[in-house]
Amino acid sequence: MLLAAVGLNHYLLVGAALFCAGLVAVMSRRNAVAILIGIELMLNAANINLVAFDHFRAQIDGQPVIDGQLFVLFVLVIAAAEAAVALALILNVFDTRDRIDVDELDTLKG
Amino acid sequence: MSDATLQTLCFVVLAAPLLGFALQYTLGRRLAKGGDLLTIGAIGASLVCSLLIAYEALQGGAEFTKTFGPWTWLQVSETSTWTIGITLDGLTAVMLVVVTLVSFLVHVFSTAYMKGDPKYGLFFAWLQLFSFSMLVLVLANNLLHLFMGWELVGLCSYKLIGFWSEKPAPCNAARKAFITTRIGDLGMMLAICILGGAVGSFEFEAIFAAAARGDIAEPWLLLAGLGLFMAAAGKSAQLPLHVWLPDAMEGPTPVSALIHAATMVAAGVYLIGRMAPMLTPDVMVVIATVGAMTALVAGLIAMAQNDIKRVLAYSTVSQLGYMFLGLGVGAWHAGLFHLTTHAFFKALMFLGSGSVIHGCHHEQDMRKMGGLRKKMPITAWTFLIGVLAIAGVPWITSGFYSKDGILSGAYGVNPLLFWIGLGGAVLTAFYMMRLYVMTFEGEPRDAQVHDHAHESPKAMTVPLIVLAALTLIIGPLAWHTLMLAPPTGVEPAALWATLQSLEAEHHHAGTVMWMAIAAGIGGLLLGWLVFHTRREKLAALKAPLAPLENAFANKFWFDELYDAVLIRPAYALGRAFKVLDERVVDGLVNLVGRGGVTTGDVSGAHDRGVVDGLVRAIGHACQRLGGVFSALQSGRVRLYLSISVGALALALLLEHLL
Repeated sequence: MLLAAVGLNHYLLVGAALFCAGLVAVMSRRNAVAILIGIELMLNAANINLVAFDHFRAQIDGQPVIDGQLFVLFVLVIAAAEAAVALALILNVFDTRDRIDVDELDTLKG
Repeated sequence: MSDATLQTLCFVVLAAPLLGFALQYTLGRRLAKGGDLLTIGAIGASLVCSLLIAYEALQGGAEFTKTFGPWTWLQVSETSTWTIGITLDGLTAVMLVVVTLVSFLVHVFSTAYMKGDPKYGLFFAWLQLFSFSMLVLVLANNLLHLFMGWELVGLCSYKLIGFWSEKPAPCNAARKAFITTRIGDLGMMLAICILGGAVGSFEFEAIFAAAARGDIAEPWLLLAGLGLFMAAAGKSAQLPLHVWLPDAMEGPTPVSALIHAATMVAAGVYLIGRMAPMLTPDVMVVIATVGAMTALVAGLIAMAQNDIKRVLAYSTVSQLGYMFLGLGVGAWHAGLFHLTTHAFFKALMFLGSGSVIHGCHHEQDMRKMGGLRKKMPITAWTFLIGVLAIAGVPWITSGFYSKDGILSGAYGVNPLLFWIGLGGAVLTAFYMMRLYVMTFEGEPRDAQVHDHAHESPKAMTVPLIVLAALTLIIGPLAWHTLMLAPPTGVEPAALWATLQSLEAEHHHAGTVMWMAIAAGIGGLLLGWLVFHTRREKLAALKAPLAPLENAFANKFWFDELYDAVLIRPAYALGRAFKVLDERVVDGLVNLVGRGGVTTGDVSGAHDRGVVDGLVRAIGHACQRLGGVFSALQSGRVRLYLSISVGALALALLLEHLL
């Protein structure tokens, strides 16, 4: 019963909260690792939405649907790859500057 | 002799010297002895052929006339063709022999006279071309063809007078000769244009026929005749165009003998003789008058000259005057016969003077000579024969026959001209005797010149002997045989009838002959007395005549007159044009130039201020704008994200509100 009371909106609210938390982390933190964590949060917020939509669509259709879940798997793979690239970048930055403050990385300014 | 053979002979006559010139000019320096043998051979071949032609002409008698050609030279339009062709008649035959013979002897003479000259070979080359030009002129059967030879003769004379071009005087003389004869040539061009236009052909026969038929309007015929005489006066040094000939004595002496005594100046006389059938009586009067005046004036000038070659030069001018007098009064035979005899004895005297100059180591002033007969006997004796011939000593010298013929012709037509001619004859004998005495007789006046004087080598004396012999024999021998028919069978327009009656009654008898003899002998005796036997009284004789002598010595101030009337005004005109050029023309050009510069300045300022300003303004604006956006591009990732999020939020908000 309790479970039945949890609808699509609850999922979406959690996703939104998670996304906002990630966004705030990305926008406010200067540590590159913290920004990476923020980005992961946002990706996973999107994943929650995808899974939720998949689940509720299956209920409406009355048959199993796997589109959303498949999508999430792709996102997870991409996120893993992205994390690997980002961490490699961060390591390199740290090697040259001994810090990983993104505000100092402004050599591309016009 | 067949016509084909004659034609071949004519071609050889022409080709030999032309080929000689071409070879000598290109290869002369590399040939043995500077190529003189080659050129002598060439002119010798020409001489032999000329003699054969002359023999044939003699056989043919008065009617001998042959024409070869015409060959097309230029096709100037559909209807008009310019041709070249050859006419052979008595006159041509005589001229051929005169030209080639004198030229041959001059070639031989030059081998000694020009020895050691740095341009030895070149000298012979030009002699060859000169002979060729003269032969072209003589053989021509139309005016245009003749004009070709005429101009070539002028060119060669220019090159030969100015042969020693490293000295200024020969160059000036060459220019003077060329320009003065060019003035005459203007008349020739005029005549050619008139006759060509009126007759439609340049051929002599056609012109004579048209003149006889009256096809050419009287004023045009008169003008053409005067034009031809103008050309002849330029080439043959008649008043007032005679000034170039004495100056032309700056050339080497063999050139003087060839060009300025025997052949080139003969071209003018030949032209008038050739064109005689178309000359109107008015033109004949002009010719006779100018001729007589020239004979007298040149004779007067010759009396007071001290340069041996200048005396001879003025005597040439004077004798040419006689020839024109003869032609002008209708004594056609006598005029052209005088041309022939004069060619020989004047070549003799010029070469003789060359021998003297050579023997005296290039001294030309007669005042430093005297008594040279013992030093150079051959030169002296041959020269004396020349003097006797030009004075007209009767029966033995050729000059007697020709001059007498001219004087009797004048006597019958115009007594005044006759007396002028007779006066000239006295003068001629007088100044020639003066020349002979001052050079060869009496006491030496300059010991140094006299001591070093020597007889010339054989190459110089042999031509003198040959010419002296010709001077003696040609008169008696040729008077009845060589004097040939009128130039064509066509009835002449002018005084021909008078002439023929005159010729008929003229047999070297009568008052005229005795007067001529008296004039010649009297002049010679007077000269001998004044300058030899009674020398001591010369000074006393001269005193009252000083002003006259001054006038003669200054050649009647002809050069000064031309300088004042023609040359200085020409220079003044030139200067005036120079000022005009500098002030007006250059001023205009400068004005235009300055206008251009000013326009350019304004345009430049406009360009810099307005156009460049606009461009720069645009540039600056772009730069500023770029600066603004550049500031946005801070390189701070978080700021970019903030802006994106802010913009998204704003967009969503706006969408929600609207």
